[in-house]
Parts: sequence; C-alpha cells; structure tokens
Amino acid sequence: MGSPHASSVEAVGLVRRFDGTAALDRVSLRIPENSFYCLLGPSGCGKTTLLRLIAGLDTPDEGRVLIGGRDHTATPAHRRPTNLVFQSGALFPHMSVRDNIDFGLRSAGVRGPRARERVEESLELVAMGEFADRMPQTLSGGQRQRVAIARSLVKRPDVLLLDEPLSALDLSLQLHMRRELKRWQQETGTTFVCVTHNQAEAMEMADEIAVMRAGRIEQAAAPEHLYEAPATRFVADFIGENNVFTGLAADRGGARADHVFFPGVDADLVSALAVRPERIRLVDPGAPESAGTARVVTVGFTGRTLRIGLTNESGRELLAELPAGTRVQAGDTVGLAFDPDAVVRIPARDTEAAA
Amino acid sequence: MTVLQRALRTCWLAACVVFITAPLLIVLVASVSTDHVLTGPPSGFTLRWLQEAVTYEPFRIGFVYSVQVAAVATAVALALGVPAAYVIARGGLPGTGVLRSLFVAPLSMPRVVTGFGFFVLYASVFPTAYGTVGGVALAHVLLLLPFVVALVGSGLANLDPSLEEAGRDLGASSSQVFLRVTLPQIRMPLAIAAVFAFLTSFDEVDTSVFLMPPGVTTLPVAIFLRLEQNQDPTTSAVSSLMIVGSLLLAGLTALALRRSGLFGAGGRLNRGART
Repeated sequence: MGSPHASSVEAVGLVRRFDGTAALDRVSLRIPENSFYCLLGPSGCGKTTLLRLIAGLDTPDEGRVLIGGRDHTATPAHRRPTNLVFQSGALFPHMSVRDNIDFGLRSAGVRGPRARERVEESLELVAMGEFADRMPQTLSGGQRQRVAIARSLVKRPDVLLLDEPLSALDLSLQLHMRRELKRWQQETGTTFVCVTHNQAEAMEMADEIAVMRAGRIEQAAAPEHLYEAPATRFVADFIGENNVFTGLAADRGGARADHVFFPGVDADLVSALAVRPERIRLVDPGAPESAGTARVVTVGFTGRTLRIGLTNESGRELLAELPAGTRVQAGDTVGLAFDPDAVVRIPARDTEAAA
Repeated sequence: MTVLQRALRTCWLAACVVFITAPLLIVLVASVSTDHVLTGPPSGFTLRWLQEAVTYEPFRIGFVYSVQVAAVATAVALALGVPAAYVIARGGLPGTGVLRSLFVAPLSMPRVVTGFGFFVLYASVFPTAYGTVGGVALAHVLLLLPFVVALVGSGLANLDPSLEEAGRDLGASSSQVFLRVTLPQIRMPLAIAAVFAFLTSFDEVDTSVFLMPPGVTTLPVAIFLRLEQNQDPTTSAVSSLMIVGSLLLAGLTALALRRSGLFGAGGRLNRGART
C-alpha cells in the first residue's frame, strides 16, 4: 500500500518542561525519510515526550518540529502528516475492528468503496482480515496492537509514530512482532519512529537509534556503531552487555583499573574503557598476554555460547562469553586476555557516571 | 462469628429494611384499602381511590405539567452540564476546583430559598416566566446541574485520555472527537444522570411551589395542595402511582443499560487491557 512520500523528521532545539523540570532539554535530531528510527532510553528519559511533540499531542516550550522539511510546530495533531500508535493501542471500545480502522478515513472525508478498499488493504497487511467484525475487547493483546497499527497505517501517514508498541506483549510474540514491524516499514516505505526502553528490540529493528538519557540525546547512530563505538559510558552500558572499567590509573606504559591492565592506554585521555564479553579470552594465569587474573564463579550454557561469570581479586564482577565446548568450570583461576582493538575508549569529556 | 452476633446483625438489617420501606408500603396499602383512614389491618380491597386519582382534574393537569417541566429541565441540565463537566475534566484551565464547587453549590442551598429566589427574580424582572413550564424548569435546572456535572464528571474521569488523543491523531476535530469517541464512552453515566435528573425534577415540591399559581401546578404541588384540604386515600393512590412509575422507569433504564452491554463496555475495560 506504498506511501506516496515518506518524510524526514527534524527536531530543532526542543525543550519541554513539566512543573519546572525539563523532560526534554534542547534536543536536536534528524530522522531520515523512509527509515526505521528508534528512540531508546530508560523510563523518564524524555523519549515519549519527544514522540508526542512530533505527533502534535503536546507543544514544546522552545524549539521547532519539521516534518518533510516543513515547520509543523504550530500544526494541531489532527492536521499533521503523522499518526501515532499508542502503547495501550487505544482502540475505540464501542467500535468494531473495521470501524476503528475506518475512523481516520471518515475524518478525512474518504467514504464508499474507496474507503472499504483501503480498510481491507490495511487489515490484510497486518493479517487481521478475518477479525474485521470483532469488537476490540474480544481480541488478544497482540491482535489489538496489530489493529492499532492498521488503523494508523490506513491514513498513509508520512511518518508513523509508535509508543512502546510491543511492551504489553509476551516475549515470543515480541520477537515475532519485531520482524513484522520491520517488514511493514519496508513494505509501506513509511518513516517509522519507535519509542522503546528495550535495547535488544531497538537493535534488531532500527536503521538508526537515538539513545536518550535525562532529556538529552547521548548518541545517535546505526546499531552497529553504537555497539562497536559507544560515545559515552551510559551508551556502553545500556547497549548490549559490557564490562566497563572506570577509575583508571596510569601504570608502566598503560592504565590499570580493578586489577586489570590495559597496555598502551593513556589514563588522562579516557574516562572509561569497555570490553564486550565476547571479546574476552581466558588464558593461563601466568601467560604473558594475561591482563589480570580472575576466578570463575558461574558457567551458563545458552546454546551457542557459554556465559562465564568471573570475580577478580578486587571483587570486581566480569562477564565473558566463550564458544560452547570451551573447557572451563566454576572455581578455576584464569587469566583475562583481549586484543588491543577489543578495548573501547570512552573519551575523557564524558565525566558523568554511568547510570 | 457467634450465633448471637449473627442474629443481631440480621435484626439490624431487617430493621433498616423496614425503616426504608414502611412509608412506601403503608401508602401502597392505603391506596387500595376500603378504609378512609388506615388505623389497622385493611378491611377490604378497592380500586376506587386509584380511579379517583386518575380522574381528578388537578392531578391530570399536574401530571402533564410535571412531565413537560421534567423533560425541559433535564434537557437543559444535560445541555449545560455535560460541556461543563467536560471542560472541568479536560480543559486544564486554572481554577477548575472553584468551578467544580460552583456547580455543586446549589446542593447545599435550601430548596425553599432557591424557590423563593426565583420567585423574586420572576416577580421583579420576568413576570411572564411565572407559572410557565419554562420558568419552573429553569429553577429545576439549578437543582439538577450538580448531579449531571458530578455523574458525567466521574464518567470522564474513568475514561482513558489516550482514546481522545487517538481520535485527534486520526484527524478528527475536537467536536468530532467529542461526538464520536467521548460521548459513546460516557453513555452509561449520561443515561443515569438523565433518568435521575428527570425523576428529581418530576418529584420537586419545595422550589416549584413558589413559582406556580394554585390552578395550574406540577403533580407533586397538586398533591401538596389537595392534602391541605382533603385527607382521603386519593392522595395515597396518586403517591402509589408515582412510586410504581419511578421504580418502573429506574428498572427499565437498568435493563436497557444491561441489554446494550453498557455495564461491561467503557473506559474501565479499556484500562484493564492496558497492563
């Protein structure tokens, strides 16, 4: 049901205060057209506020919202080329699935066979055709969410906004719906902007992610880039699993933290270091490449890998992920090793503590 | 719980039920008893008083008058009260607390004073309103507004605000959202408010008695006036008819609401689905 034109979205210096505290603190970002974009962050980071400002359901105290290059800051919600899928679905309980989807078309004056055709088309897209005459209360959570998405997509918006669309669903359904959302985005060619607190969900679906914290954007980049090169300690911790080292001290041609030695690192230039669990190797404690020793506390089998919980002499807990079949057991004392390129350096300008 | 406690509790409940229903039962019995004044067990059954009540001219006029007044008063109270409740619940205006108190204020005013107030108002400014359906209904509106605003207000408070936002987001203007989303969601409190307002107005004496000449009055005032001269069971009979009529109306409303599944629908269920 290809959208005639997907639009980019631009936020320029957006500020939104509630009772004096800034839920959004000068947020600027550009969401490319025809992309799947995620706003990711813990609760209270301002991601839903940002989404509501784009939808026009809330008004910024400062700043502008541009959609498709046009300034829409003053446009009321019902005239914006955006549609929002609410967290609860917000289906109208007194209307059938079909009437729910038809609601937006009627508001736009689209009636008769053309309206019916578009309703069927969008029911078909989300595979809910056989439920057209059901009432929302009789549907499961996943079905309701599909109808809510169809109800928004039938309007052929330039931008589809989704507020935690999968958070009410059970895990296996979430995993399935991630792929469905991605597919619908590609099939419709509409720009999708999705708010989520689930980093795995964002990583799987998004072309680009803006990681938010305390009303600001920490880093906006492609998922691979966020994973490989987090710009802040917060991003290093929040995206995927990580071993983050702080409190670095200069030591004989390198830096040392929590009894782990990092050769060639200048402690004055970085505020933290991060090593992904899968980049850690376990070696003989006396081996020259060992950067420090630790004791194996737990060994967990996940299928393809072993998840190894370690504690070193400073009481620091670490996580390593090794190929299944590696010989290791709880109680072993091992040496930790990693390649120089496995060590991600968080620049010194990021002085905030990891949350 | 001991047997004694159980017995005490049963007695207490029974006493309450008797206290509530005794006056109604006495009236119902008196209206079909052959006795002129009920002093003991009824000595016979008759429909004479009921027949007299139905054919008594002031009651007939009063009934029509009361229905007209109640219909007009209910319509006006809803037309004013529903938007007011909406603004209080959603407007986000400063001073909505004051506004809410203002709408409930008539409840704490003695109805006699309200009636007298309107009497003075009509006598001095609108002499033509005295004794008319519109004039009496207007005074009743003041008494009905608190119920309408409170009932509809609680319905709106139970309504998930994201439903209205979804309506706006899907391109409906504010008035379209109100008509197509909000109103259907508050059908139940609205229906209850309407029935309650109608019955309250139909039943009103204290305020009405100031606003009508003796010849043309509402039914309750006609009953009141007749009772001053004549204490025969015709008054009991018309009272019985009012009791039965009110119960019938309330019962039918409850039935209609249940039929249309309104007890199940609405904001609460939607909220439940939210988890």
